[in-house]
Amino acid sequence: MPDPHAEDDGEEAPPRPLGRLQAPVVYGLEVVGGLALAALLAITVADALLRSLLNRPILGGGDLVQVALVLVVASALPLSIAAGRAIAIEMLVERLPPALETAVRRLSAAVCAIASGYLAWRCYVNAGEAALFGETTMLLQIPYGPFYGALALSFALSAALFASGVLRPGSGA
Amino acid sequence: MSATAIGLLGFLGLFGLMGLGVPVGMAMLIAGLLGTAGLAGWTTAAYTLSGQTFATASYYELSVLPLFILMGNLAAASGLSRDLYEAAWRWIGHVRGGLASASVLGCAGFSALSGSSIASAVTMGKVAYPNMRRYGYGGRLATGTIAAGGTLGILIPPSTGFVLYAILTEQSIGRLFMAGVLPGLMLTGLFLLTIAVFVRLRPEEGPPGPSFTWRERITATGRATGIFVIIGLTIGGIYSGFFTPVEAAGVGAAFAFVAFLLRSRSLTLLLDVVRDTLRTTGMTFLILIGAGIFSPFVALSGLPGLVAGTFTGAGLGPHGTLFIILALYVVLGMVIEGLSLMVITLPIVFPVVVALGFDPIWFGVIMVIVLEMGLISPPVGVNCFVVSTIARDVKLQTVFAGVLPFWGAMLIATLLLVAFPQIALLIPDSMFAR
Repeated sequence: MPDPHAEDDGEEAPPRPLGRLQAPVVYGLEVVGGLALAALLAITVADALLRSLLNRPILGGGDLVQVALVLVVASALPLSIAAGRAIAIEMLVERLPPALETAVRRLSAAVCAIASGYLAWRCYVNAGEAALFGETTMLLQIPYGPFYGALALSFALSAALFASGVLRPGSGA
Repeated sequence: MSATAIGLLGFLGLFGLMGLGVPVGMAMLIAGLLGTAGLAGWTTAAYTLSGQTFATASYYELSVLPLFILMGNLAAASGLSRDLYEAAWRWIGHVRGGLASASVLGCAGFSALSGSSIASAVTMGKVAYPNMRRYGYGGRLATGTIAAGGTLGILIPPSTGFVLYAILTEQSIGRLFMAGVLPGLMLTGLFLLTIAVFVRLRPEEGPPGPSFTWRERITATGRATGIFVIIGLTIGGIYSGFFTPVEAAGVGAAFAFVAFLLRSRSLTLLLDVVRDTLRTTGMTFLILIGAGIFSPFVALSGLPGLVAGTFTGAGLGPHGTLFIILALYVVLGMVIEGLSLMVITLPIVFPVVVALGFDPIWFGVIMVIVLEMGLISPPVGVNCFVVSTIARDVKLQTVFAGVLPFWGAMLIATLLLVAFPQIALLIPDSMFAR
């Protein structure tokens, strides 16, 4: 929660699991996510007001919301992982001896990297299948393929972030 | 290996992964994938994995989450969220325990908008705690008030907890929001009553604060109008049927954006708002994606039927079973984060509760209260730890001692809701009847 009046309480600098690549990747995701969020807000409000006041909702407004949401989620997932915001139960790991804690954190990051990588691959396969079978949204016929692709990219980035946690445990991912 | 055994192994694997520090969403995703593969083969599991992920990320109803998160962040950044505290302070700060009561109201308003108990404890804590100490409040009451006050937000719409519960159990988000209104007000009243009793027994903990002129009170109340407009737009819009929950979220966020432009206009702050909204959205969706893969596996394993049968066969009766479930939630809530606990356990617990004949909307309300109790229960009541980082002059034990009376108030609220389900169901039922 951004807080304009918050005092500086000596919070640690945000983790940078991707090193030098962190800034451009995060910036790109924030731009895409921010634009998708703005679109989601604009469509929802316009649809609500047009429907309730003029009884003329946006044709395919639901379709537009759906695809905007996919882009918001696709950009938000790696951003939350890069910022170390994924909810985890650290109570047990934190009580381990330092060497064992590092090993467990590496193992945990490796497991997450493999799972995210596999999910990225599956989304990529589904993107191809969606294009092949012409899967689209209901009203506007927006093809699903590119949005499966966006999720594939999102999980590939997440996998990279988790993988960096294997090399640098505790870097946030 | 039987389906039930694979189901149990899946849960063991899930808790094992969580114990290793694997993020809860990823742990559910992995356990769900491997479990589904064990039950239905790898091809089915692979398609479930990507299909459910896409379904969750493109689920229209879930667009309320980023919009409400955005609304809360914009309201916080523009100072809207603090206005209720400032107004309440000017009206009741001069009576014994009044500053603590103003803090509870401020926390309720802030966390209702932000949807986050922890964010409420942090932000309100930084404002309300020094203020209470400045006017001679004791550490117990000051810290207990802030740690407990934030928990009100999950009941007062819009609430992330209700959205997750609604999506996972296929209930109406609008009905759940409405069901939280009266219990939220009741719990706020119980918290205020707790403070009144506290300062009567220990007057030195909550001395009277400064008085303000009528002009100052009215000015502060005028500034707090914005928060009432947002809550009115969202709750009133949904109740009247004017807006769907998704539309209400959008309109609420748009209003908060206008308030932000009028009050702040800082581009840096706006970018911070967007950044934080995306991070919180990602955090929430990772859990939802995990739940979307884990839940079908649990259903496929037949475990919910087995558990329901076991409870029914035990002869405890519906309320006996309910109390056992709630007691388990209180205990588990002490060690597992609330929303995670909800998504992990609902696939098992929800069918049991429905089979026992309880109203799913009513149970949703009870469940979020009990989960919030975990946030202020030792040994890992997160809100207490958060407050102790702000109140560095007070020991953690003192914070836990301070929240204890409020924990009791939440227990009373839960018991009242069990005895009188109408408290939760009155508004949604009247909405449905129209």
